[in-house]
Amino acid sequence: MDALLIVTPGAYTTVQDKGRYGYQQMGVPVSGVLDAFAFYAANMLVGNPDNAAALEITIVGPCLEILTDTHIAVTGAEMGMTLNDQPVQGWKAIRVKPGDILDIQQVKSGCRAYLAVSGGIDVPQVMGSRSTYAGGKLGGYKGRPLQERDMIQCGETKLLTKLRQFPSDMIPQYPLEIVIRAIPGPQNDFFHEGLDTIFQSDYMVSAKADRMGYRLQGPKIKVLEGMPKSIISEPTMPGGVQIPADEQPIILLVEQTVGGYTKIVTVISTDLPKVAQATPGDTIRFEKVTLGQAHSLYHDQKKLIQMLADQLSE
Amino acid sequence: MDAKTYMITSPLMGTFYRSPSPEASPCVEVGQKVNTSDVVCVIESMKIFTELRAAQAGTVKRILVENEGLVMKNQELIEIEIG
Repeated sequence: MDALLIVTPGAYTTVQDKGRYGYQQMGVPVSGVLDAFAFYAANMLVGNPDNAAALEITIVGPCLEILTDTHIAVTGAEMGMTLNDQPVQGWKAIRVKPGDILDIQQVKSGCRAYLAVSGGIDVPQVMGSRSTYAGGKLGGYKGRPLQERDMIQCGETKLLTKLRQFPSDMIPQYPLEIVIRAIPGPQNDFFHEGLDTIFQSDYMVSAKADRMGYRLQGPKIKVLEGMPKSIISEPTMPGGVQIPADEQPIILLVEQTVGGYTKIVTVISTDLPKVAQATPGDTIRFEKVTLGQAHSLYHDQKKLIQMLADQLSE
Repeated sequence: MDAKTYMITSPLMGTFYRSPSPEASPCVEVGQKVNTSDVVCVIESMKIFTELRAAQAGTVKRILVENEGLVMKNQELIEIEIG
């Protein structure tokens, strides 16, 4: 069913779900949403399953004409937003009708917003996922970011009896300085002082930051004397922090498959949404945690998401 | 009487461009009229060219940044006189 007509596409708007798993060995990156928390929240607000495809909106949002009677919700970065020229808020379900114009403007806080529609965005599944991998021109809407006059379909609408609203104290803040937790390794034995440097310094997000990875600027991180500067290329994971030849860290994200640089630390998955909401000029500090702590934080977050889902569906 | 103005600000740190491509002429010049949602400049950052649009119709009063200048988050770029 036709659901949304793109009047203007925004800076970089793509269809994403949780990602495309199981094809990295063939060079197909996971892709998918960068801020999974905001994505789950958007789907919960419109009563979708947690993996229904949504729009990931970056920096400046699209202007959309609504073509069907449905619910939408926008979460994540705070962007100015109007429905038929009247201001509307994020983190709550909005009832929309054919002919309505939803205009999502430039970001005020954060970087990426998520727009979910009841029934989910319907694009063909490619290798089990609806996520866009623009670099490989596959998945999503014709394998590319949205453009003017694209017609977006959605699955079957199920109107909710109550307009859901996310608890305000659970809405994340996106400050200009963030602390993200990381575990040392997998190549921590290539570093000694470098580990002190990365856990004790402030790093600035550079303008070279996208869905593949965020390049940071700050104190140089040196590989131990006598150790090779690179390794045999091996699979990378979202959150891996590479130290390339210029000794400045890169936080790898969802559009990377393999890499030949050493990874000094790995950002825990629970904190990747914070990275996703950082923009160039923001400050990042790494805090060391153990693998055990990372696992328990992950379980806590899963419980929290389940609790919120239960609460919202009451 | 002071006319009302508003500022176009940069949503993020990046490079300011007055035109959408190197061959194109600038989106706007001082004194030019703009309509709501006309593109007035472009910011390059995060491998994305972000077009910034006029929030309200008016006349370009001042352009505060040189073409290809580095701009910071929330920096004022272009002043537009409403009306």
